[in-house]
Amino acid sequence: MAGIKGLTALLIIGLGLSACASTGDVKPIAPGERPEISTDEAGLWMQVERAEEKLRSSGKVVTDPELNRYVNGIVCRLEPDYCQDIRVYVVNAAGFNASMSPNGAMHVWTGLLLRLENEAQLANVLSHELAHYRQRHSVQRWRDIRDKTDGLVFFQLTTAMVGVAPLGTLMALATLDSIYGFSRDQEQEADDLGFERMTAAGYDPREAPRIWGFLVAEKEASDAPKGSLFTATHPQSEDRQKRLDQQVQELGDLTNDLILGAENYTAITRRFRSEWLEDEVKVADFGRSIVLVDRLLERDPGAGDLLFAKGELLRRRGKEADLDAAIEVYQSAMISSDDYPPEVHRSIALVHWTQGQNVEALAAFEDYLNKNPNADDHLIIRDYISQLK
Amino acid sequence: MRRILLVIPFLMILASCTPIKLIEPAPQKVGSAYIIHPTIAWNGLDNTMFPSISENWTADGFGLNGIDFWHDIENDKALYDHSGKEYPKFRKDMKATEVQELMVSSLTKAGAENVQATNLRPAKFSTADGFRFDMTYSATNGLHLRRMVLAAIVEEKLQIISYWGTEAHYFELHVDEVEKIMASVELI
Repeated sequence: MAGIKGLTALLIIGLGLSACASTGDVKPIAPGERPEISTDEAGLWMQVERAEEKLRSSGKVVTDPELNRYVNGIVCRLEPDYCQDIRVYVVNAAGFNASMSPNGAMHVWTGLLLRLENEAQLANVLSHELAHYRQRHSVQRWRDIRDKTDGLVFFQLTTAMVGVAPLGTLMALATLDSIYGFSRDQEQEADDLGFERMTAAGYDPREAPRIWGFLVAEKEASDAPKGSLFTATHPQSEDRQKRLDQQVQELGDLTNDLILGAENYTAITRRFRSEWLEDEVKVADFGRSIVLVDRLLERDPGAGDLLFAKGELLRRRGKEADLDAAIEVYQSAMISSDDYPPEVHRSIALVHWTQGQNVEALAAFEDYLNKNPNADDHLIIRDYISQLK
Repeated sequence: MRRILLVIPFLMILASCTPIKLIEPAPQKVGSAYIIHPTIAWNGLDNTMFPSISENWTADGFGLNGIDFWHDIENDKALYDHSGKEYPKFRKDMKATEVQELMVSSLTKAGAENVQATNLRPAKFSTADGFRFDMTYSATNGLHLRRMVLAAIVEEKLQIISYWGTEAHYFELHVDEVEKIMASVELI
């Protein structure tokens, strides 16, 4: 009992120290502004500039001029005054993500572009990230964490002295987890400012909550372990969707001349879709990816690349009903699309072989080699064929 | 960032009491699955302290190059089991193409970026009919890596010998020695 009292006292001291730490006032950054060289903010910029330099030479950045011009054009439409301060990097990575460095380097993942349907949705994501930059959220966050971490060291030492070191470690984990991103309040502020800015730039604001709807559906279907002990520090996708829905309602009747930009968006991004789908399949989060591909198929039914991706996800997941479903999807790809990839035949063959249908497997492997005689894997396919004969 | 910060204390512990053992240039048993015959000395992670699904050796340092030996991977087991992630699992009826896909997805899930696999071809794994393929990918620190894989499914269990190294210098450094190791494998 005495131990618990002592622990409570230590908790109060530790938390009190954290709360005492002041983050100070951080004013929004002005167009063209750079931090004074003697400030902690300049140090933070220096660190992220190094990371930016590394990213530029990493081979992970999509260099396609048309795509880059398009994304940069939207940034400049949203924030004309800050246009020269922002550098957008489209980064080859699966998953729904975009981020903003304090020095104006914005990262937009290709997995995000795969998931969006139109320019208005992209404008919402970009304006959210631009709000983080304008409000200097990174430096606010960095100062907050620096102060919190100082308090934490004290807390770990004191708890370790009375033999409750594991609690100190747990607190450390909580703090480290909060370093992961912006705070809940900052995310909410960026949501609000981003929404305002996209609406002011003429984009259809009804597209903003829809993005979060996509995420909720994927999250529910995901095979990944659900949630983290510390996710409470960030607003949930469901809450963000509701809040943005409310903001749309508050705007009242909307005019008909709002920008959606679906055709333009598709025209620019469509030629990368097969590659981005391949990256998505590699992640092997089958539940999440099937929900995504089904949604994309609603907008583009019969598309060979989408049907192939769905077949691949079903085949690789390999649950009982998946293999028959995969065959159906592959066959749909061949019927409804002239540009289905030759690998469809190889995948059909693999499914048939697994199901013990060797005659069908053999025929499909031969179709694959006929369509693609110089396939990179032709040696193993010829070996499969000789085993099946 | 969070992941790096969480890994640092672990690496510090690892550095202070790293269970590295000398692997002599003599016949070495990998689990109870196979024997290989290295002709140079390697540094091996002693898995009795940090249990791992694979055995891991390096010649020049674990950030530069290494060989991973997986042995007797059973149906419905993954190649990795760390980070609280759901890794894709091996199925005993997999074909070479599917094992290659398993390896690509496992590395992607473990944090490797832009993982590509090429040149899948038949190859002997000791007396068993196996296969080989080559891989390229980037580590999260931006280093470009190459990997070559020899594998076989023997009595429904997956056996893998896989050598990796930085594209610049360290991969090439021991390719010849690893080719000898792959050629020397004897199933038990």
